[in-house]
Amino acid sequence: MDLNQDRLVSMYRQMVLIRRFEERAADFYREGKIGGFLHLYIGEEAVGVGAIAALEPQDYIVTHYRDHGHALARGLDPKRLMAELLGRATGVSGGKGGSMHLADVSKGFWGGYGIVGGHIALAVGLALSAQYLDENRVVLCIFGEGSTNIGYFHEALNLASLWKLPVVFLCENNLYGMGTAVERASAVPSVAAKACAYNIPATRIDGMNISTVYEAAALAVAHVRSGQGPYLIEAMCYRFPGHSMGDPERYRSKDEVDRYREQDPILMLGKQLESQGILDEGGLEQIDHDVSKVIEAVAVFADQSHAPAPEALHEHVYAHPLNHREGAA
Amino acid sequence: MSAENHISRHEALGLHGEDVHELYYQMVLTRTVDDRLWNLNRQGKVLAFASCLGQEAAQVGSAYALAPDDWLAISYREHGVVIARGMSVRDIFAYAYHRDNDPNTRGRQIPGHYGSQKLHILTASSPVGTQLAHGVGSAWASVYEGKREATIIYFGDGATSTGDFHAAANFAAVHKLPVVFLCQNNEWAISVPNTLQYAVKHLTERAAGYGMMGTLVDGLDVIEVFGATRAALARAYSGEGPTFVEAKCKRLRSHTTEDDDRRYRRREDVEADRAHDPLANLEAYMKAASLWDEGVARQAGEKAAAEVEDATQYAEASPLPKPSETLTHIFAEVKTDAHQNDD
Repeated sequence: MDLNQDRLVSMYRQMVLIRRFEERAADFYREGKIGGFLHLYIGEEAVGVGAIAALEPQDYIVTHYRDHGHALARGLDPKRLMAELLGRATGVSGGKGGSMHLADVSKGFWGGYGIVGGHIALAVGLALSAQYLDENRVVLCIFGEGSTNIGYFHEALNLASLWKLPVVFLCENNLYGMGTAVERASAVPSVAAKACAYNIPATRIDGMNISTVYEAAALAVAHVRSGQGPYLIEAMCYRFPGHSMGDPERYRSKDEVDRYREQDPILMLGKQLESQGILDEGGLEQIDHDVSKVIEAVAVFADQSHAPAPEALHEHVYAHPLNHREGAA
Repeated sequence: MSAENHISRHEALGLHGEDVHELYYQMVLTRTVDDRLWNLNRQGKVLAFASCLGQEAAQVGSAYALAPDDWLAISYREHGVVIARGMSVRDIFAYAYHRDNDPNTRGRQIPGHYGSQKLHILTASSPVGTQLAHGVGSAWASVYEGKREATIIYFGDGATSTGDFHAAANFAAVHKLPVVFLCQNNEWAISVPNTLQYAVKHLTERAAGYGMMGTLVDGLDVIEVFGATRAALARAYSGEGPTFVEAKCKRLRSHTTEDDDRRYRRREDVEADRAHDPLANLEAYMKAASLWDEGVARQAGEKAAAEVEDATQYAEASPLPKPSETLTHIFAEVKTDAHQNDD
């Protein structure tokens, strides 16, 4: 469970990659090149990067629609991710999923899902399949605190605990379900406290500290992998931008946002790397510089890719399309 | 337990000897109704329904604690609740026979889905657990209108695994709504036993997940159920929010008339469960409390049998709804011409 120096540097690089990727995505959005919604993960990077680092390659991830960071942390190709955001054929979902539906099953990344809480049930289904097929797999299910008041959360946690399914429930508690503060939507504002109602062990952690996240996730994954049933982690975090690109943010003060920005997980890990003598200021700048170069190439690739051809409309919709229907008429 | 202790239990709750006799009678009447309906189903006269045998104390004891203005959101297994609420046996049988004079649904619903504006009973739903959302909505309406009313929601152990339960419990707790969640845990959701339904020991543990008070009671003990319900109602009226009451009961028959529990329940287990009889329980209490003589059981039995016989004759003699009125009593406002609103 030790985080060696290389691992810490690699995590730092991943967080910077996510940050720069999303900043570029926001620009594309403002340029009108990204349609629909765009939900940024900025400020929450330590949760996804720290937790996903605790997984093995055969493990699965099912997540919500604030999913760019999770996909990048799992190692999906940033070029194909940005192309997906722009709705291009080279995107990971063929340009038909967009920001909220990033997926690459070859990497065990089953996707972002657009229905709040609906994917929690899918994660439990994947865990059931892993148990049934006797595969050594853990499913990491990531969701926000807003979805914990939805029926799916309840049904999924009960079944997972009852059948001792291999799921790590990772709640990113960023304090707001869109514009609704957690205390206004939940009489028990701690999601970890809800786990006792299902007999599931749980822990509440500082999600801005990546070492804390990694250690908690490693413990949870080990518990789940040993067949003892699910585990719940509540990672306290904060999203710096609005809920989506069109959020006027009337529900929180600028002071509050500024206070949390002081705990920026990238800033914190950078300071840690410096104070431990792992990297100096120049080293950190070099990473930033390298990542910016990568993002430039990513942006060019995405922007120059083509939209899906009209003939491809029916592709990627069903696993086994009923092609014979075309000739049936 | 000494006789003094027993007496203090009902008297401590402000119940008189007459109340205990009334509770006993309502439980006997519930069982007599249930038995007769079951037999009539086997004769082909009454459609499918869910028996409440074994749950008489949980139903009568809780409903007896309600004030006239309170509201009830029920499941399809609550004959004892509606009897305690004051529905006449004639009305229950007119419904079971699907007669036009049934005030519940005018003979248009499957038996047991009671509903009455007069008695403040929201019409029961067939889908398991949906009444939880209805009941919380009813409680919210009471608060919104500034009325001193509570809503009691009746449901079983199976319903606690549904998403509706979760959403309803959270919402009621967040907004401190005047709700009593009355769970009759009869150990079976059709054929699924408790051990395959939830991973906690008692369902009351769920209450903590909503920041709600949870109370575990012996659902075979009518006095205990009454006391727990009344305490929950007091919390509801005073704005302290909802309470989860779990009444542990036994289901002494199959899930419904259409179910055969011999496929999933060992006979010796059913026999063992029959020893946990809420009526025998109350009889023992009444004996210890000097509220019993042999006449009590005989008179209650005779009176209940007479009521049920009268109600059966009444329903048999009542007319069926007219085919031409199929669409009446379905909507509050009837659209006579479906094309009228097409613009």
